[in-house]
Amino acid sequence: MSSFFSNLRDRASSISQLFDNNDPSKNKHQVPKLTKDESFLQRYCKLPETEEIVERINVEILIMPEVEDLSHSHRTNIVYQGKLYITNGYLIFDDDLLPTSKPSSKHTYIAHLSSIRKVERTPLSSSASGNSASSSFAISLHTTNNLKLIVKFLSLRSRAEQFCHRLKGQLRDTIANVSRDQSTAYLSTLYSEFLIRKNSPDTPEDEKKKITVPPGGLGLIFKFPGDAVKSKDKSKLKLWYDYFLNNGRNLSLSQTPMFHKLIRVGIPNRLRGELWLYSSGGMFVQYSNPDQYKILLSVHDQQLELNPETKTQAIDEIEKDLNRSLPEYSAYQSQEGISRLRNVLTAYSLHDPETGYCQAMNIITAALLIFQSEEQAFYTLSQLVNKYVPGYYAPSMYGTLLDQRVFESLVAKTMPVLWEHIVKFDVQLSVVSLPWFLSLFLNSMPLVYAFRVMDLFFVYGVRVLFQIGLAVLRINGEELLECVDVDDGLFISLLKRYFATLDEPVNPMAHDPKARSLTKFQQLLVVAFREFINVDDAMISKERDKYRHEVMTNVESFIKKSQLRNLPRVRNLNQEQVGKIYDLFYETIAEDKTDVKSSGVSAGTTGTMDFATFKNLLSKIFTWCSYDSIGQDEQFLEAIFQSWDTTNSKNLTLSDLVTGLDTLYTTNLMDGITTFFQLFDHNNTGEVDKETILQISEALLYLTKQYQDGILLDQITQSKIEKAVAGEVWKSLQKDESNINLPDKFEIDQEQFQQEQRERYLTSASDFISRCFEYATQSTTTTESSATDNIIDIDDKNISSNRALDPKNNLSLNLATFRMVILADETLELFFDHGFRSMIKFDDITISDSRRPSTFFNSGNSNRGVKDMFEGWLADAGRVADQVRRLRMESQSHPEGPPDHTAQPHVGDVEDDDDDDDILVNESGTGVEAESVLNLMSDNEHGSLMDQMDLLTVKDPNTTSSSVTSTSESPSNVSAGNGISHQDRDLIDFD
Amino acid sequence: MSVVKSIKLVLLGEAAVGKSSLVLRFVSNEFQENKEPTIGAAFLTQRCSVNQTTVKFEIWDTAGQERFASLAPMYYRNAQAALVVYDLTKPGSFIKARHWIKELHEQANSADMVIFLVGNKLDLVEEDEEQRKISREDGEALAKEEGCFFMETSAKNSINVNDVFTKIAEEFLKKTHAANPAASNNNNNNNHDGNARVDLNSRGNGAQNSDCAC
Ligand SMILES: Nc1nc2c(ncn2[C@@H]2O[C@H](COP(=O)(O)OP(=O)(O)O)[C@@H](O)[C@H]2O)c(=O)[nH]1
Ligand SMILES: [Mg+2]
Repeated sequence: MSSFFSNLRDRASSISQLFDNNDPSKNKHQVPKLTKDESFLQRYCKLPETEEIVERINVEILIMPEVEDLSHSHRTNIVYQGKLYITNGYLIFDDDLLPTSKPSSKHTYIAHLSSIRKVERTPLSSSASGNSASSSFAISLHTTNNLKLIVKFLSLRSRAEQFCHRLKGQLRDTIANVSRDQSTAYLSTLYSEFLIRKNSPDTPEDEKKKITVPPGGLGLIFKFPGDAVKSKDKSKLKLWYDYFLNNGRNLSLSQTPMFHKLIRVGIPNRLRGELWLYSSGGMFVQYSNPDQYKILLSVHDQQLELNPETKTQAIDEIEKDLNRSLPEYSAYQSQEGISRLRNVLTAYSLHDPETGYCQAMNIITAALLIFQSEEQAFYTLSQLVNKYVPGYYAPSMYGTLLDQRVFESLVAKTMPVLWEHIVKFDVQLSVVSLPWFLSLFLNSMPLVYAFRVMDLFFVYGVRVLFQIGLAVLRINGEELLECVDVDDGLFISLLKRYFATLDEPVNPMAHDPKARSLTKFQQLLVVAFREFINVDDAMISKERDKYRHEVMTNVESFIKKSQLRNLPRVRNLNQEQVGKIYDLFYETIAEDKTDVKSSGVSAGTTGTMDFATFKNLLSKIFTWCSYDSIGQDEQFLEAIFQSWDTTNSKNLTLSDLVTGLDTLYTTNLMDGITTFFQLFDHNNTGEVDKETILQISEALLYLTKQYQDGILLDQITQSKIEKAVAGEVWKSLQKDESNINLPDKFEIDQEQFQQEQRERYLTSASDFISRCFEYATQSTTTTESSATDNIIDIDDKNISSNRALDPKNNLSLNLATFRMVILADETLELFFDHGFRSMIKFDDITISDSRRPSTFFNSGNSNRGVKDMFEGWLADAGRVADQVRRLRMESQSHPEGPPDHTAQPHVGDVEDDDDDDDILVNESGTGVEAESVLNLMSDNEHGSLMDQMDLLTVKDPNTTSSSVTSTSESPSNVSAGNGISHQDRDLIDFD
Repeated sequence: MSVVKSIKLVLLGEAAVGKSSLVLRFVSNEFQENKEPTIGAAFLTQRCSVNQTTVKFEIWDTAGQERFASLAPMYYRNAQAALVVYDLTKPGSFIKARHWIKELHEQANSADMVIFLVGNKLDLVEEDEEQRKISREDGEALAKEEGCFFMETSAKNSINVNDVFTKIAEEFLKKTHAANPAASNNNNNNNHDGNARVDLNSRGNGAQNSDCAC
């Protein structure tokens, strides 16, 4: 039985597939497996998912600045070999090295097609290739940021021509889609462009003065945390300036091993925001959806203006945490900082309502905003939440729990001694490591070091968190082992001390000045990336696969347990049924969500369903919903929906649903009638008007459709059939009193029974309307009418119904009258007594299709139909036996002949049997073979009909053996032979 | 004399009922806006002495957001005491408190746990009885029903806060003594069989917090 969380699980694994090159993938879900190339694009280049490869080819490539800078004449131009890809929007080069454990040695180039200015054929120059006599050719590309790429094709000429053709086509499309102004506007928001223009010797001096710093992080106003001199920000900025000149930047950037070196030494504050945006892939998303952020916020503002009550739960929670997000940084003691934080978190919660807001996102966003503009932070955060750490901030936080499990397993693998120690002292490692992962070390390390971790994290992904976490334990492992008694508290305080001293030298006494200057933070990075170099994406995804099922199952059952615990008390449903409703609730939400992506339903703790989903759910448990085309009586379903939607939010919670179903599932006739009435009394006035009375009667017709069509037989009909069968049995018994041979066939005219029932229901429905109108009071004369409500003047029938039918008169019917009208009709009374309840099926919800009347008839499988029918009969074998018993008694008092069993049964005939499943009748079978009936009956717990008849004569618990002997004789003989006393017992039993 | 017993205590309750404030009042006798970003749970310690025994509280103050509830078992696992807090002026928080107690009974070894139900923000109620949404009787009834201790407190005005922690320490000592009478002299400090943990590192600095109100 799948539930909502298996859907989450699917999502989790599909997301991890995007990240995992080598996913052998146990999951058999529809997610198509990405090819190595596609996975490279998304995982490594972090291109938007919409990007698809349209062409690929093997090339040699040389990338250099258009104008060779003389001061850099010493640079060596390296030719790389690899694949060149065209996607819808990008041109990408990737050398063929595997990115797995050492991505920093790779060489790649990513350019948005809009940054390619010119493409031309070039004669093969010696700089681009050897002097091979290939039949292929080369092209050179010029970019808007003054790079020159020389591409030599290594494939056949025709393939190369095809590639060029394709490239031309894509470039043309891009020019049509992205205007020059658009990209100029975008580039002006980037610090790298500012840096180049401000410092380029090509820019005239007077223009340089006019160039302003693009909008950026709070650090530009409130100063960046840390000591810029100590971190050598100036010289790092100079290095990046050179790098950008020679290798491009932002939308056309070549990543060489130097890029990785520069990342490792720490990004200078002013460039940090842009490089986080770039390496997270957020830049690509932003470039293709530049207004997304603004629109989200403006729509939200408009909504708030219209209705200040539309604040979501996420927005409330965000508000509470604004003052606790890096409060030590001065910007977050100011309105400016708080308001930026609020905007980004709010926009994100609207953009991804399923995640909404999760604590820790506030801290991360606060960190982003020190270096990034609101928009940049928004796009970076989106990438982080969805691509980097899927499931971390989800309502169930399954991603967090999974990675904690993976972390434990990696500790056990890489540091077995320490792990043993941890296990021995029963320390819960997660209480220490959880915040590292959830908040990227931001609330564990001094900020400046956490930012450096983030520099690496955005380039290399989640493995960085694992590597650094493991290194922290490796470095402190000995001290931890030395503690004779470790507990959570000691563990925490020891590591707290360590983190606080990250800026201190590891060996203050070392002779070598270089060794002396090595700080603990530098040591941490060295340990993380040297000793744990094997902890790569492949290993992490393998471990995740190993524990995913276990963790998901635990989360699933934990959440289910706690949600069930938190539901309001139920009176009529049992816990098992409530559990099934829970499953169904989330299952249906998940089903409907795959149709409409991101419908705004949030998972786990705050799931709700709208009317469409509700209808879908009801069709699974209300047999009448699936019987006729659903939506035939939307009005009735809407009435239910509205009456259960206690908060008037157009959405039902699990609690609304359970409470609603619980009231419907009542065993009390009066409660049932009241509940039904209240479904239509929308405003709780205690009265309904004429229009509503008609609605009610339509609803009744709709609900009882299966009875009208004879697919379900109610107890009145059942009882008639039982009598008829008993009559047949009795007849045959009388024919040959010494023998138990039964006739081969009973002739039961089912059509007649069905027809009778149909008429009875239709009559009830029309009686219902006329009675309602008869007894309803006219609301125009309310002063007197209230007093006469319950006084029924039967003689006044004609007058009052005429009055009621007059459209000018407005009527009102109150609950008491409604109840009376129902109780006045045996059929309706029976329906409310338990017919309604019996049409709600919680059992075998997913496998019960064969038992649903509609499929029962549509299946065309008559064998199954017949069997179902007998199963329906079996439950009533006891009752048939009772009927036979009764006939016997009657015959003893009137020995003349068989009694008239066709007489109308009265309500007293309807037995109060717990097992009140209605009989399913097969329309094709009018004759029922007695023998098979009896055979089937013998399997039933009621015992076979014969046993029943034995019991009726020799029912003596102390002499069970006598019943064995008695079967060989005719029951009537036994009865006669055993005398009066047994019959007495029997009589008592019966009554 | 200088034997120190550690007790792991977890605070549970809806967001904003005053969990962190109660801890802050107990640990540093202050009341101020909580500025500590809490991810999962905040860890604090405080010592106090009860009947010649020093009890070292290791306090896990859990994060308030609903979705962190699935992480809560990590913190109440092995806890010897739980402080379940609600806000006397917020009916919803009382329902949530009931759920937490039920969860402890179902998920944790609550038999060995001292569970304390606390209705906080008594100062607001004393100022204006209208504000009270949960009667003292209702609180007492729930506590009785679930077999836990009960008090109404104010972290702001320091009403009953120290009493709650003292009572927890006393009950904890009673339980550990009953469970393992020899534990107080047991230096093997094997914390798997009993709840007592002897903290060797505490020798000498036990007086540091002698101003503890207990
Ligand atoms: N009046 C009053 N306010 C309180 C009391 N305890 C906490 N608060 C306030 O309630 C809010 C939430 O407190 P906090 O300790 O952060 O709650 P937590 O989320 O349960 O940790 C803060 O504004 C506190 O100042 C109290 O005893 N009386
Ligand atoms: Mg708190």
